[in-house]
Amino acid sequence: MSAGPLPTIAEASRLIAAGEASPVELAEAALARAAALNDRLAAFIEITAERARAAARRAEAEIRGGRRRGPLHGVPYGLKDIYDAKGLRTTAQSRLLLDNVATEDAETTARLEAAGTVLIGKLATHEFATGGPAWDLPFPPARNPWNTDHFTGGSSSGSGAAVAAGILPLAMGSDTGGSIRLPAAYCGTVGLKPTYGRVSRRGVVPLCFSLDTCGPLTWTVEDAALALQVLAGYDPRDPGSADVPVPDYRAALRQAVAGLRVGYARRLNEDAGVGAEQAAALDRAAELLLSLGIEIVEVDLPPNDHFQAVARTVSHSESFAIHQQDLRERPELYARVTRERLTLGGFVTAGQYVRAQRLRRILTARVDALFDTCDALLTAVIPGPAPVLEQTDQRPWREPQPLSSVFNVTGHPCIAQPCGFAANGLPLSVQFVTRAFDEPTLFRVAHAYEQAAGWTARRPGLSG
Amino acid sequence: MPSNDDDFAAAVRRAGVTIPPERWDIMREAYRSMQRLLAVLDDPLTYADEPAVLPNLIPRGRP
Repeated sequence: MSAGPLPTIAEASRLIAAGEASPVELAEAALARAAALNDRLAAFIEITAERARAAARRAEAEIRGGRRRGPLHGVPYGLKDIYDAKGLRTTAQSRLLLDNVATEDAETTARLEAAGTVLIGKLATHEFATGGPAWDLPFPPARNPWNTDHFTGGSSSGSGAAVAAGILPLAMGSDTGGSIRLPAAYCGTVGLKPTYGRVSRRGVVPLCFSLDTCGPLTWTVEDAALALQVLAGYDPRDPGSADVPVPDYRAALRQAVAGLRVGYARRLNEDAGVGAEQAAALDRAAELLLSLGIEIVEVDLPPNDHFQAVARTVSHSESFAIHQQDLRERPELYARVTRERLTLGGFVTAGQYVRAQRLRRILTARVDALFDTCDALLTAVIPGPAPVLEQTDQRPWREPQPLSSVFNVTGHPCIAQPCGFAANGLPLSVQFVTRAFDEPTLFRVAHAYEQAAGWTARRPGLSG
Repeated sequence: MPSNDDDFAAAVRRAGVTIPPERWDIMREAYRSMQRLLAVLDDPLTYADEPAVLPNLIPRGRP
């Protein structure tokens, strides 16, 4: 293996099938790259080298013995450190869980292990997948591989950094208000938030029961489809899991897109304070889709402040309910920013919470109605390129509100992917959205755009 | 908007948390900002507008 970025899942799978690379070589390449870059990126909380080598040797023996399990067999991956992996600590980047050793795999971890993947390590997050980058924690915040002075986005910060840096072709994240798509957008990777209920959350530290969604960060849309094929499915032990058949996601990539209709929510950009560079990149993305034979129509979403009021009320209330006892009895163990943001949930009244859930149903129906005439939506997910890490908002109440939580409120599947670069060299991002459980159309549109745009050829200029 | 701390102090008591004195003003401003955003929740709703519940977040039209 070269010392450069690891191959994508699809490419690694092809190399393994052709005998041109082995799981052991891939694992060693990932471990070497992690060792070379982690001091600069702080992407990993823990690198599980011996476990990885053992898993890679097992995968190699099975494949050589003619027992190849599928395209993910022998492929390295990482887990945001809120996912349980039996025998390893799940810290959620918090002092409160420093001694929390998992006794069982999360359902998602178990599915990935059954597919033969090779765990390289546990990845940095914002504390309990909330708060923000903090310096008063046992682990430092991750840094953006495109420019280490800049923010990765969060809370799946290590996942975004590790995939963008080419250390891993696959990293798991979680998305309650944008925590997969924001690091994907700021780090220039693909980030998939599946439909709420599509992927089990069992064994993943919760932040907000009715918004939390598990999903992958990858370098390409095809890799996201390959990962979801393994991750998707009903889990009776997750109360939010949906018993819906799992289609062939990779097959969707081969379907033509001409004749599809995409609704461009251009006015959301203005409503949500999207900057000129990002807005222009979205316009160019729409024009490129048009050139592929996709019809573009402008659509209006309900006002952004309605979505934000619902998202913040629900997420703050539910996360406070989870952390209430620790916030009262040992608040000093949290980072200051985490503690203060979680505390806000204690100020929400029961009436506000119920009214937010009522408005949530109305907003979901209004977005759902757009899919009567559109196959997909195109929207912004970030207002502009990643800010400087030390200049990120550390106040308890973030202004302006992020626009990524719109589709956490409604539960629709969405994908963030690169759509260009700002003048300072940092990635810009576009988001596609489809009907609930219509991830095939999501992959179809996103893959067609990715192939036509060609942004995946550009990698961060890291050495190591 | 109240001109004193009464509403915020009551919210803190109800939450059962302790706010360090040096963070009181910052948290009070955060509380007020949150309440300004949440004001849209006071818009009228009909009796038929029931809360979202998890199974009904799965909209119609499964592919």
